[in-house]
Amino acid sequence: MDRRSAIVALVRRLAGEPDPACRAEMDQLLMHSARWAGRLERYAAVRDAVRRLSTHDLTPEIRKACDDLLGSPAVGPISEGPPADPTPARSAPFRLAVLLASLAGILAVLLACFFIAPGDYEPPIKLGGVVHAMGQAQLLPALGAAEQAREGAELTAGMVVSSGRDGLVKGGTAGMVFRLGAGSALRLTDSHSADLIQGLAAVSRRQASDEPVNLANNNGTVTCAEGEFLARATRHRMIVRCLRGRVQLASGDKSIQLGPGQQGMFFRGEPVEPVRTASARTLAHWQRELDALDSGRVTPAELELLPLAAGPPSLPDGVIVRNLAVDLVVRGPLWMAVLTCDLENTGSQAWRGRLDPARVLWPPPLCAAESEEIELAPGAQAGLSCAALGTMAPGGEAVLWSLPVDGWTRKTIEGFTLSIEAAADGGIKGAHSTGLEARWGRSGDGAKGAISARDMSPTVPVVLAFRFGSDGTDDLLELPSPGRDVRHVLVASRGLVASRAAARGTERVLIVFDATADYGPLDRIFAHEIVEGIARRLSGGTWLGLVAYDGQVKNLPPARGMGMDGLLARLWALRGGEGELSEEMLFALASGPGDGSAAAFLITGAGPAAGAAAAGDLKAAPRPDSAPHVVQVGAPRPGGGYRELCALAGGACTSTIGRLSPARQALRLLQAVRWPGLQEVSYAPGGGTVRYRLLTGSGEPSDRPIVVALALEPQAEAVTGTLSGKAADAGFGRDLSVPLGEAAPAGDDALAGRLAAALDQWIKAGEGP
Amino acid sequence: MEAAGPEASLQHLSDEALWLSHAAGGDAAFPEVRRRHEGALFRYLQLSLGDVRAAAETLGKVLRLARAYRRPYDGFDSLRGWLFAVATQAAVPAHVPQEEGLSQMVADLKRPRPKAVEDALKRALADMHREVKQPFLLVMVMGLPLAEAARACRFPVHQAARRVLSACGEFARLATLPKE
Repeated sequence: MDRRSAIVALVRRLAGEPDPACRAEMDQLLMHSARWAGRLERYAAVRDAVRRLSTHDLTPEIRKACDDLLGSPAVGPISEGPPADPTPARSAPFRLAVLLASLAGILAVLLACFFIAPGDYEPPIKLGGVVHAMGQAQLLPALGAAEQAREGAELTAGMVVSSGRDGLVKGGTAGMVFRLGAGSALRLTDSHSADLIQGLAAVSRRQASDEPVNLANNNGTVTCAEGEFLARATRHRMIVRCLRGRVQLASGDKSIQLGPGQQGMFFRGEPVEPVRTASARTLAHWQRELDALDSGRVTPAELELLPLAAGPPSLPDGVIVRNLAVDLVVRGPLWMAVLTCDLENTGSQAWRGRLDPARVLWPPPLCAAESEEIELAPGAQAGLSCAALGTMAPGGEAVLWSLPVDGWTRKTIEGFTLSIEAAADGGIKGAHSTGLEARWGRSGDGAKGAISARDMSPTVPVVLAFRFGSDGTDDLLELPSPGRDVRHVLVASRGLVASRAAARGTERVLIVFDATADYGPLDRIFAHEIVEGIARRLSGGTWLGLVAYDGQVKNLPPARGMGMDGLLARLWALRGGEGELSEEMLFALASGPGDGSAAAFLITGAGPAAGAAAAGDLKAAPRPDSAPHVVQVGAPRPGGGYRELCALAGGACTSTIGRLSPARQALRLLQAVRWPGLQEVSYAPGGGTVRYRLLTGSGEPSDRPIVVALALEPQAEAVTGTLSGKAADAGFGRDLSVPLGEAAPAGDDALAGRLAAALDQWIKAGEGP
Repeated sequence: MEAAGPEASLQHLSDEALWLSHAAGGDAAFPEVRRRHEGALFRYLQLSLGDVRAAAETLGKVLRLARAYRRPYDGFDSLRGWLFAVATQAAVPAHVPQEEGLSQMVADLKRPRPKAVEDALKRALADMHREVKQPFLLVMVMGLPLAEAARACRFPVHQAARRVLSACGEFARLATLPKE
């Protein structure tokens, strides 16, 4: 029996797993080797001890939290009675002991204050404060107990700032600004100096300061008289990358200088030569580790280090890029870059053309597509945005899968192709895959990520989670795992922002808030959030205003002009009025102020009388051509009168008892007004041997990209078919079908583009006139 | 006599049959799958992550992923093994580095000394590298077959076995120091 087999057999024996093939040999080994027999005995004791370790039970509260995460009602037996009080019961002697101990503590403090002279204790020198902190970040003062790092917390000399395993900290002193990545610790010496104990830090000198910044650890000292640098420290080395300005690495009598984009290293206490150029990928990776605090924004200096297209940007003379911003979101080896910029025509002639801003930033052939046509009069500005989804290839280079304006690229990853078309206009905030994250590991001082057929195990689902909007919820898109069933996956994603923007040009929305309605405590919060949710989603041009009713109509200024909190406080201050819905309010509801195209939302309570009365009155309102939409907060279902009214006028009627959050409820209401979206997707293969799997990202189609995935079998040769689905149209569905076009080979690059084009066509048809 | 409800009939189904029903689009099977396995998954996640709250969050994530996955768990011998594989992948937040070195020492200074074997074991478990910890937990504590655990952690079997023994060695060294 060789050693490898013996180890496997020993583990199986320890685990109590039957191992008939090696049983006899293992018995022999254990009989003749005291060492192996001893191991078995010791490790069995360890196994038993660890098995006995206590853990917390799965309480109803935790089950409830899981249910919330599942976004559905309980999917399993939840409640076995009321939750137990977690506070342990204390006996009377225990309470007495605690009381005595407290008194003794107070006495000790008083004595200390009396006997210790004021001069004996010097308060720590205040250096600065924490700007942002998240996760399990802690401040460990030189004296005293650790405390959670919070925004505004004081930083003092000798303090260790530890970001914890999931934390990030940004802080500043009079002389420097620093950011700490996860798992990092920094000890502040004075306002210009700090020790990087471990981890990753970005440090820059404050402009107003005259003194250079010193960052030291047991390997050496980094001095930065001007600029910004990144440093990663471990026990035996510290790697420093200069972003801008100049950085000096010094230890003993040896020193080296770094310029922008260069990196240097200390190893075992000495700076190592020669200086190398930092790879853009590593810089970007480091930067992303620190990005959560700054929304992933890449500074112009770092942008210069990204792999830009050769040659100058392909912009026409006179047209310049302003306010260029790249937001990078990284989830494991997958990364999403959202690029936005403003173009300004500074020339004297009008310019009309097409420009893909991503083409300016990333080299061809990854950006073969062009954006929509832009027309810029002299002095005019236009905004552009696009997004890219990429991953780190096994070779370590960043691979851009696609630039999602219109075009497609396809990268082969060890026989498995994954083509993704993600429209930038849908607000995709990020994507990750549970299956892929696992391969994003760390090695030494750096990090490496890989995505390959091996990583995409056929047995573990590859799930991309798309995060839309700001409500923080993920929509899951299951990608079929590669293997014998699937060789190609096509993913297309399209948003409906363009249609929304078009709608906004003509849509006028008025919110009518019924302050006389009966709201319970929770309903009150819900109503508040719905009003806020609707208002936040309306552009300035759309937003007509907010009308509150407390017996008489009160116009409130548009929310854009004042803080939403203040506005809502005023709304609730109107509470307590008596009376019924007045004619003015009905008029406002039915027509909007002087604009027949306006839509009005009535946010009201659950009272049936109010509902019936209002509905009756509204039916008789003078201008029934517009669409009143009614939200009954706290009602189990919309009142009958409201339902009739909305059906008559083409409005939407809803109640708020349900699973949707207020933000989603508000979104759904807005969608119902004029912005229909696709609600269902199906795909019928029309030729070839195609297996398909389609998933929509969410039930919120109008505000989210529609994501369609087709999984093609390896033998799929000629792919064609029809995308069909149901489009929401003011509450009524319409069936739509769009052919994919002529049959194409499964591995054809053009196929993914055609899928996206079909999706575009479908969306266009679904939006109607 | 009144017929038993659908939940009662599901209780008699094997894991495999339950999952087939789930994969076929049935909604009734998943609650039963969850009922059977969530306790063990939660214990595993607690030991793996060293934090109850993180374990609860990850459990929710695992359940959500599992519910969305309506396909056979090919490649695994059991549903249980596959669920632990999903949990293992979900419990490794890739962007979170393993704490080590001086920052750990700083944290150690703030921690009370362990007084009992259980404390020492928990502490060692919390500090153990997850590449070693996870195979060990799956095999020795959760009772997964070695091959399943290796698949869940994406190691070859012999490598997983070596890691299990490595964890055992660490614990054995530790367990000899403090006495109950």
